[in-house]
Amino acid sequence: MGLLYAQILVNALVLSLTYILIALGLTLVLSVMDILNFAHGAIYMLGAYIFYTFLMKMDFPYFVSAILAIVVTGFLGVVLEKYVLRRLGTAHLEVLVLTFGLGMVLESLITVIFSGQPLPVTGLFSGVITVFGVTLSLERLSIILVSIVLVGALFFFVTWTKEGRAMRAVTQNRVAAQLQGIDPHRISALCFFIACALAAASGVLTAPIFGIEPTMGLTPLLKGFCAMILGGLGNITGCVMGGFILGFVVSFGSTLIDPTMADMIAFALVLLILIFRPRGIIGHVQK
Amino acid sequence: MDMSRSSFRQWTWFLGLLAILLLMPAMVSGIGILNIINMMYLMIIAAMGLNLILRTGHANFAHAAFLAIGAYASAFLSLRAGLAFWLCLPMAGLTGALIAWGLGRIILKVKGAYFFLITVAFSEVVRRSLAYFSDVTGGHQGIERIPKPSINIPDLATVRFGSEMSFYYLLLATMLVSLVIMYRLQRGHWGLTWRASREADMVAESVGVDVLRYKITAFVTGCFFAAISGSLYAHYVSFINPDTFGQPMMMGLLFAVVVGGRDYFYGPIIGIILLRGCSAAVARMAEYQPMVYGVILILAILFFPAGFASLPSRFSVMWQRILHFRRPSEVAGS
Amino acid sequence: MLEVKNLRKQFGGLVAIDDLSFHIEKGKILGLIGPNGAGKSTAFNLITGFYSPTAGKIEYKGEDITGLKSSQIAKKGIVRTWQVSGLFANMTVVQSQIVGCHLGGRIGLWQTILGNRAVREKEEEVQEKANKILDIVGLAEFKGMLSKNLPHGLLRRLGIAIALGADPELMLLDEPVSGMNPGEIQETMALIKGLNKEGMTILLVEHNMKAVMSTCDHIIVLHYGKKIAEGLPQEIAQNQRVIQAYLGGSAKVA
Repeated sequence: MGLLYAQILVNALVLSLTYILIALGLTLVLSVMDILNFAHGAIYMLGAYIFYTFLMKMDFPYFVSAILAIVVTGFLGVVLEKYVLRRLGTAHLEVLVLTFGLGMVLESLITVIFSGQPLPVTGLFSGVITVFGVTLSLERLSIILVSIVLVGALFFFVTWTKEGRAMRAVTQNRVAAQLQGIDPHRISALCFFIACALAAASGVLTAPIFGIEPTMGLTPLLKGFCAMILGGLGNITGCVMGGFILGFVVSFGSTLIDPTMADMIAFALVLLILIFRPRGIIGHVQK
Repeated sequence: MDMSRSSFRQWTWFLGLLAILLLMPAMVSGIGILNIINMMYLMIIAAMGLNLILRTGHANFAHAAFLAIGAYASAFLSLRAGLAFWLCLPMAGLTGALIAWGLGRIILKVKGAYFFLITVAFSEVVRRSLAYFSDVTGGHQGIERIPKPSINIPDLATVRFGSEMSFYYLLLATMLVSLVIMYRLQRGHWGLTWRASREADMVAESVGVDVLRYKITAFVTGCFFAAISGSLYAHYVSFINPDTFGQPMMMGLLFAVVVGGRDYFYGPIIGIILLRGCSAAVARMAEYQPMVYGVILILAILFFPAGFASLPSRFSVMWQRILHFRRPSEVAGS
Repeated sequence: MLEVKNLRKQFGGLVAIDDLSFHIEKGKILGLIGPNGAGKSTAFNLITGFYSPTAGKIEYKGEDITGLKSSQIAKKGIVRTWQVSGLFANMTVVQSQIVGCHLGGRIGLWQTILGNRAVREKEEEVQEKANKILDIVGLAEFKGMLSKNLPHGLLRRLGIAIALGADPELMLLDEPVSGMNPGEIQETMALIKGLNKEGMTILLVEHNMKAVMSTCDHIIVLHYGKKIAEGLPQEIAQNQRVIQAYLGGSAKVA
């Protein structure tokens, strides 16, 4: 019995951290740029595919492929931000529909280039490790570790570095930040880079376990939105908590009850929380 | 009745258009095109309903879900309760309206991204519930063989709406009625108050506008038309499943409204025509369809953020400038 | 006419208004002044229902209106203007005015759909009323102009016009002459006095001392959310506590 629960726990952690990495990107972009990025799932998918190309098609070593995928995706994001998103300012609905269109284009592009079939990705770790008499997959454990490191790095960045603080300033008051000498365009670009990099990282991490396919970004996007909502929009701590709650609900629900039901419960939960506590579980004073 | 010249011109345009619409089936070269036009009429009703809600400042991502609600309600009423289509249609609309009322009362208190995400969550819950409770809803298999409408004149004849052409007139009539209703609303007191509620809701509130009530009315009306549209779909295509009314349809509606032009009454109509035109044009290259569609969407938003409906006025502004340039001596007072 | 009793408003740990009591007599112009952050806007929002008080009561013509929704308070006859120049930026002046006349021009949903003659008559009625108010306020020639294109001074006046559309008995004017040049200030204050002569009760928040002193019948001074003085303009002008509040208390008045 302990084995089952331990495995569910591990799966829940993996799922949660995947959602968290995506939701963090969404939250950053929403707070700093006031944009709801519907293409984020596609970017997650893009990161995974770029990783696949470097690793499986060009035979680059694992870490090199991973880092390259993350960085390249980040830069593509910056290009996107500079030439497309910036032109629209914060015309909310237009940006939304546009990013959706973008997501569609990316998905379609990948389908044309790589075919719509799921593709396998060889992982770095295979095999298991036994802890306290319980056998766990090394792969999954490494995902958990790396994800935690990434989340930690983000927190550190936002809290202690100059750029991170500049980002927070822009979140609170764009004009005031400008008056203090902060360039909002540069911050937006940086923010988008980080968001895309995080999404790509998540894609890279989960690719070996689940394989990759063009539509892989759809559900994570929705779940990312949910995690973001649960934690209160614009709140990265909340985001993390929201991601864990969501991940655990879905994971335990899937195994113990039914996968479809678990999804439904997750969304219903989000809906109820939004209705009765629109500020999310943590709550956050909107600017 | 005193008819001024411009009013007379308007009437001739209108009647001419009406004549074309009525004679369309004869003018069109094939059933396939009629089918496309029929779907357009259906989607126009839904898109116009969406725009109604949008113009109060709320981005309703649950619109497709209300189409689903209307479709499934209508399917149940006709298959399980044996009601005639003519009853199912308004009852489906009412079902949608009721649910919209219950939902709207709660969620219309919030705005912006929050509201949008709530509607995303709602639409996911609806869609997944329809898939999950398969004993009732048929799950992923959906519901098929939904009866076509028919009129039973006792002892005389039974008129069955089975063909594309018969549906053409049914859909045209429903669409025109819906458009008239929405036009009347938008043109007068309600449209102006809705707009004010979106522009500066607190100012409106301070002169006595019960903003929440007006927003709820808009939401209920818009979702009513979505449900009507869904019901029509169910009886037209005779097959529905949870995926019919999923993200692609929702995005199609948003595409139509945004690209067509949100600030114009007939904007969504133009958007739907463009949308259908797009998908028809790339129908052969199914693989590339999402890409072309997405690229057009992106280009349209980047270069025509006010929508295609704004083009005529932009053209006339440009035209005026050209006129001024060519005959400066004839321009009065400038 | 309006009675504020022991009003208190707290935002978390911050007390914005503390034990505020005053009344406004019918037909008078009451001025509400105080240094920045004294709580004037908060008082405004409390009276007009945009905030609900932490404690205290607000009575209007003997009726308890504490905690009512803003639109309901407007229906009772209390209307406010707004400091932010936003208004209905992308709507024309006359359209904005028609919205202001909302209370008198409401038409039912079904009536609008069926569209009978009564609807048209009502719409004409409202249009006439809107034009009339714009005439009174002096904005008639700008009818078709988009609000966002109006010069600042006229925008303030549009705010007053919109508020007038609701047929108020009590008007709360939020800094009606801020950002105006002396000529505009005079015109606007004359307009306000004119409205008062016609029977309008007015509560005025304003920083321009000259305007306040010359227009108000009675003045209340707020400081850190508390009422520190009340009386006739001449009395207030010489009140030591008031002067100290404005100067920060440390400087000496020469």
